[in-house]
Amino acid sequence: MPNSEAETDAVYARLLQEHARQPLHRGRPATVAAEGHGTNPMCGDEITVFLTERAPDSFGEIWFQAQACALCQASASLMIRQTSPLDPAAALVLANEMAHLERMTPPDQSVDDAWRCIQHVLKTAPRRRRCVELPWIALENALRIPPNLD
Amino acid sequence: MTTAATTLAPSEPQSIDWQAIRRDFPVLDQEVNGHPLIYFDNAATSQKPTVVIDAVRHYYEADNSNVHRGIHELSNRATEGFESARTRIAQFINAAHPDEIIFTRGTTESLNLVAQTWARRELKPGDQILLTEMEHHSNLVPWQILAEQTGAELRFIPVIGDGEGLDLEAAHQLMQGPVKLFAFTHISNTLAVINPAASLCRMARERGIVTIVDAAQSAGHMPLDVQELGCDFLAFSSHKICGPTGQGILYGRLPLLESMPPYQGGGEMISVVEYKTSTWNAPPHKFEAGTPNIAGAIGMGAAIDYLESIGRKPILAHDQALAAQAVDGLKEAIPDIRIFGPKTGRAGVVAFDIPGLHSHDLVTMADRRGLALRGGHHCTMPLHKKLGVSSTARASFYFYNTSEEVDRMVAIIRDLYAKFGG
Repeated sequence: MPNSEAETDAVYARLLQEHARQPLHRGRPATVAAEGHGTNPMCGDEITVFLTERAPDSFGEIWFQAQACALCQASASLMIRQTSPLDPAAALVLANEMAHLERMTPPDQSVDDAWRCIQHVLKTAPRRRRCVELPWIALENALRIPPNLD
Repeated sequence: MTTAATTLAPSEPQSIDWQAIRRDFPVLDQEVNGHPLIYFDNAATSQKPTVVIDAVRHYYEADNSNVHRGIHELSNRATEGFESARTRIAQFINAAHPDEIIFTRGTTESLNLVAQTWARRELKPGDQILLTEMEHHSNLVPWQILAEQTGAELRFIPVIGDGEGLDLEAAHQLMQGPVKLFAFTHISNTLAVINPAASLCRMARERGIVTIVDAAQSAGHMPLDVQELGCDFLAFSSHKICGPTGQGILYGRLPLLESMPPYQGGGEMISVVEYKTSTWNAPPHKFEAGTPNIAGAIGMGAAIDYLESIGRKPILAHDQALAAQAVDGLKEAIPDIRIFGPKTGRAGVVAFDIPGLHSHDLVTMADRRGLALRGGHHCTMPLHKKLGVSSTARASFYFYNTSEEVDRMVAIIRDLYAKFGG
């Protein structure tokens, strides 16, 4: 059954206030070891993801700069939380999955409120999948830069 | 059933029963997400009146056959319907002859056709292609490809202010250079600017520059007369003037069409075919390889009859009144809204940016209230970049929209801004 107007309003309020307007690690960090870029041809939005380290076993912290919608920024926030405990190889696997949402199995909805909100919006606006994928595409691009072996 | 085609003669805005006309569009009579549909995405595509739907259905139910070379009754009827549409389209834009009308898949294909036939043969390194900063991607990318192929350079007439219009002095200056062709939009799909097409064409003609007018946003919204405009080529799509999708036309002055090489090879476009060589049919058939979109052309002809029964002057006046009402209402509701385009005399398009509320978020929430807007770059990415925004929300109107719908849109956006803005 389609989401009601009130439900969507409530979800959007959460998306904006808790996930998009106060995202983790927004901005360019002092040290950038690698960066990846993503663009959304549907709306012109752009995002750049920065890694503070690029070693075989660590990418340090993920930061991002974006001119993007609430859905995209919430997805970036979710990305930073979900990848922080991972090593580069595992993060790349996850990024690759999330960058192609149409072919992934949705994770457990109880895991993260941002993810629950995102999935709710996608039910009513499935064409906005790319908004969610965008940060993950940028992360995948950053992680595909070979590690510094010095 | 009421249809404008049967009940209306061309008339002044005050004597037109717009509510009756609205009933000609079955798609508008529905609820979306529990609310009456308000369709304000007309710059993307228009809705179709019953007369157009019936014309397409009638063709498939009664006359379906291939055109031109068949000599049986069904083919005669199909050819008559197809060629009669061409004649009515020629009259619609006051072309000198129906042979100046080439059927294409739409504006985009029409512009690509000129780029890859006339322009590809004529342009050489050092020549300039003049465009404007407000072009839709369909009137930009084909010329980028051509520039790459020929070594010609792209030049752009600047947009002034917050999209208020073209810098006409700069246009004049730019035309003093080695410009070979000048392609420009008649009405901007983002800014709602109505460009002074006749004077731009005159300016170009004085310098021997070939002109191409993108009339995608103007053909169904204002009177068009290619002889008065003085353009060499003009393109528009059926689906934006109440006709079927996948159908459009290219107008070209006959001497130019006769001199141009063909666009694609195949059946219909030939005169004589040998194993190693061929000769070409005369225009327009030289540019219509393969079986055309026969139903699309017939539907487009029906759409033109329908629009002519209303009259494009009153349609323009109606569009402009709704746009002015929307601009005033939105400014009053949201003082820090940024509305792009001219301050007066805009076409029926309003693109805007609300600080803190991304266009896609706004459009998604408006959709939950039955309001169909468009969010994004509207295929004018470079223009958006120049204006300092990645995307805008856009409301675009047509003659079946009402003042009450505009009031409802303003109320919805005011409510969304109060809940989610800033």
